[in-house]
Amino acid sequence: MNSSTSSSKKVALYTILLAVVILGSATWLVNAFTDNTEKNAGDVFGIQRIRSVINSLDYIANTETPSVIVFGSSLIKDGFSPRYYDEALKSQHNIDITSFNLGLGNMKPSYQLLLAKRIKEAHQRSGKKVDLAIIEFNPFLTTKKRENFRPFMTEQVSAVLMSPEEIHNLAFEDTERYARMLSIRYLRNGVSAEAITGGIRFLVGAAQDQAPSIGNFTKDHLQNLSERRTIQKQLRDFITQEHPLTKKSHVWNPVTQGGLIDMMDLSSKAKSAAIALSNNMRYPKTLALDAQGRIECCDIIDLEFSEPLFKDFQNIIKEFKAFSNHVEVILMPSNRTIIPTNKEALERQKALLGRLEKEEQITVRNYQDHPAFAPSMFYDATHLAMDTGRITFSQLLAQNTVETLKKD
Amino acid sequence: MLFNTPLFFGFACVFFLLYSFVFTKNNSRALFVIASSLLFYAGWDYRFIPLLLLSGVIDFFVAQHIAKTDDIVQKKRFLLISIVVNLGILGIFKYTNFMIDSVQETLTFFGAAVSLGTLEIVLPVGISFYTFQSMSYTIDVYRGDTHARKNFTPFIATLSFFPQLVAGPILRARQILPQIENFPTPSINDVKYGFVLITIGLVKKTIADILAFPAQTLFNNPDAISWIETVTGVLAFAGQIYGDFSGYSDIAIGIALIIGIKIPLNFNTPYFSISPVDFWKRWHISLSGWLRDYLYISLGGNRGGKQIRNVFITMLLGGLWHGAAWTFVVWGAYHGVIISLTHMIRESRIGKFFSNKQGKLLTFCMWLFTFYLVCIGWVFFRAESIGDAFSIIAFLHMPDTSIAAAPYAGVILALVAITIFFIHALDYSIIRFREGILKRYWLVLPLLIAGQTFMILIGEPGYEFIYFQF
Repeated sequence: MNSSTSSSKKVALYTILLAVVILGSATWLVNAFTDNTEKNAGDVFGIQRIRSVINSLDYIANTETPSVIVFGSSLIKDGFSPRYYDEALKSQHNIDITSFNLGLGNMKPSYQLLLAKRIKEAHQRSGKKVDLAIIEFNPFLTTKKRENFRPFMTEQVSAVLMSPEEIHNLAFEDTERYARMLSIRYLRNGVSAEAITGGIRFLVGAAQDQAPSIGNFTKDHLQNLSERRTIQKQLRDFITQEHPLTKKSHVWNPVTQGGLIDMMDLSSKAKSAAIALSNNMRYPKTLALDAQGRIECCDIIDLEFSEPLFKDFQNIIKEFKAFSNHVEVILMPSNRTIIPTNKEALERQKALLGRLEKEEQITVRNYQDHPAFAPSMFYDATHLAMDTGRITFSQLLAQNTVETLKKD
Repeated sequence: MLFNTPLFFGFACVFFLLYSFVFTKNNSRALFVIASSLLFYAGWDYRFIPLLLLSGVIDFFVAQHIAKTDDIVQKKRFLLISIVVNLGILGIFKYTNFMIDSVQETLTFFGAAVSLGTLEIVLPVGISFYTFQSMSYTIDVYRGDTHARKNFTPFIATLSFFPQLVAGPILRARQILPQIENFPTPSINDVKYGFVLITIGLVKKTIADILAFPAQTLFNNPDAISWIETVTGVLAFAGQIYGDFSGYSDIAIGIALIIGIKIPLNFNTPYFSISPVDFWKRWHISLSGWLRDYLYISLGGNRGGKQIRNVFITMLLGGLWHGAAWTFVVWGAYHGVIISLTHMIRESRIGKFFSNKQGKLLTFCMWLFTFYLVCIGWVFFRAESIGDAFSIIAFLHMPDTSIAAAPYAGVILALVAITIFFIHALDYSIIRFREGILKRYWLVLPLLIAGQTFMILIGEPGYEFIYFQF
C-alpha cells in the first residue's frame, strides 16, 4: 500500500467516524425529543393511540372470556363504551363477555386494513377467535377527498402499522418510500418529520388561512371558547386526580378496554364538568365550523366514494372473517341537523352498502338515523357525547348484537 | 433521488465506502463515478440517460476535432455542431410546448384562434445544467482555454458527476476535469468543511420548505390577502428560493469535497448585495459566470458601446434558461433593465459623485434598495402569470386597506424576515470564519449535530428542490 492510498483510507475512516458521531448524536437527540414530547405534551404527533393499540393486540387476543371487538374510526373511539356494552349484556341477558374498543382517529380504510392484519396476526399467534367483530363503515372516511387528506400522516401511520415484512417488501416496489419507512419506524421512533412540521406549517401557513375566520368571531363565540377552555381544564384536572393511571384517555388502556374515560368513572363534580363541556361544545358556530371542516376533509355532504378505499374496507372484513366467529358492519349515528347529507349521496351510500351485504355476505346495521339519537347526544358534528350518546349507543348495540352472540 | 431523503443517504454511504475502499485507481474510480451517477439519475427517469450520454459523446468527439484542425472555419463548424446539438436538445425538451403555446396565444390575440395542441414531452431533470456544462467544454477547447481530452471516461464522469448533475453548480471542464482525471485525496479539513456545507444545505432546505407555506398563501391567492401578508409572501419566497437553491448547491459542494473534489462557491450571501450587478456576482455564480463568459462576451461584452444591449440580451436569455414561461422572460428582462440602469448610473455624474462618498448610511440604503429590487423580481419569477405578478406588485405599492390582516400576521412577517437574515448570517459566518470554525472541534461538532438534528426533526424528506424544474 503506498502512502497516498494509506492516507486516503485514513481520511475515509475519519469521515465515517465523523458521520457516525454526528448522525448518531442527531438521531439520539431526535428520539429523545419525540419521546419526551409525547410523555409530557400528550399526543401531539397523533400516533400515541395507534402505537398503544398495536402494543395491546396480544393482550386482546389472549383474553380468556369470549370477546367482542368493535373496530372503527374516532366515531367508535368516542361513541362506544365497552364497559356499558358488557354491563348491558350481563345485566339484561346474563352473557359474560369482554368487549374492546379499537376505534382510532385520523383513519381511512387503507390504514385500518393494516391494523386489521395486525389484529389477525395477534389472534393467529394466540390461536383464539373473536366471538363477534363489529366493524364500523364510516362513509365520510371512504370518500375520494379523504383518500388524499393529510398526506403527511400517511407515512407515519403506515410506518407504525406495517409489519416488518410489509416494509421490506417496499424495497422492490418503491425504494424511496422504503427508505423513508425504515427511517420513521426504526430511527425516528415512529414519528415522521411531517408530523412535527405539521405544527410549524400550522403556525406559518394554515394559521394565515384560519386566522381571518377567528377574526370574525362574535363576542358570544369568543366567550364560549373561553368558557370551554376553563371547563376542559377542570375536567382534565378531575380526571388526573381521580384516575392518575388512565388520565391519558386517548391511549389504549386495558382498564377501560380501549374505551375512553366514562361517566361511570367520574365523581359527581367531574360528571358535572363533563356535561357542561358537552353543552358548551354544542354552540352553533362551533358545530358549523366543525361541519365545515368535515366537508373540506371528507366530503361529508356529497359523499363521492372512492373505490380503492371501499375495496380496502372490503378487505378489512375479509381479514376479520379469518379470526372471528361472526362479523357485522355498523354505521354510527349521524347528527343530521348539523350534517345534512344530501339525497343523492344517501342513494350512493345505500347502493354501496347493498354491494357490501351481497359481496361479503354480511349483516349491516345502520344507526345513522336511529330515533334513539337526538342532536343533543352529540358533542360535535359527528361524535357522540360521553354523557348521553355513548351510553345509549353502547347499550343499544348490546341489545342488537345479543342474538348473534347467543348463536355460539 | 433527492439529497434530503433517507434513500440518498443510503446511496451516498454505499458510494463512499466503495469509492474509498474498493475503487482506488483513477480509471476505475471514474468508471465507478459514472455508474453511480447514472444510477442516481435513473432514480428520476432512466429513459433520459441516453440523452445525457448523447450530449457528452458528441461534445467529446467534437472537441477532439476542434483540437485537431487548424482551420478556423472548420473549428467554427465543429463548435456549431456542439451548440446546435445541445441547444437543440434543450429546445426540444424544454421549449417546444412553450413555443407552441406562444404561437397559439399570438394567433388567438389577432383573432385567428387555432388549436395547435401540445406535445407530451417530459422535461428531463437537470437538462439545462448538463447541456450548458457540456457545451462549455467545446467552447473552452475552441477558445484554447483547455485542451481536448483523449480519455473518454473522465470526461463523462465529469459531466455526469452526481452531486452537481441535476441542479448544478454548472462547472467548467477546466475546473473539474483535472480533478476527476486525478482524484485528489481530501484533507481532514476538506471532510469537516464538506460536512459543514452538507449540514448547512440541509438546514437551509428545511427552512425553505417552511417558508414555502407563507409564499404559497400569497401566490395561490394573490387577490385575497392583506398587504402585510403580501409582503410576507414576497419575502418568504425570497427566502425560500435562496434556502432551496443555495442549500442544494451547498450539499453538492459538500459531498464533492468529502471525496476531495473542489467545486467553487455558487452563492455568496446574495441578499447582502448593494447593487443589482453585485447581486449577480453573488447569486448562482456558476450560471452568471457561464452567461458572462460564453454569452455576454460572445456578444461583444463591453466593447463598441453595446454593453447595455448585451447585458439585456444576456439577462433575457438567462431568464428564459430558468423556465419556459413568459414570467421567466419578464424576470430576465427586468434584471437586464436594472443591471443596465446600474451601469448607466455608475457612469453618470451622480454615480461618480456618490462612489466617492460611500458611508454606512449610503451602503445601507443601497442594500435596502437592491433587496427591494430583487424581491420585486422574485414576484415575476414565482407568480402564476404576468398579470398576477403585476397585480401583486401594484398591491404592494398601493395596498387595499379593506382587506384585514390576519392576527399574528405581523409576527409571521417578523419571523420570515429573521429567518432570511439567519440563513445569510449562517452563510456569512461559514465563508468569513471558515478556518477558525474548522479548527475548533468544540464548536464544529455541536454545530453539525444541532444542524442535523434540526433537519432530521423537521425536514420533510422528499420535498423537491425548486431548481430541478429548470
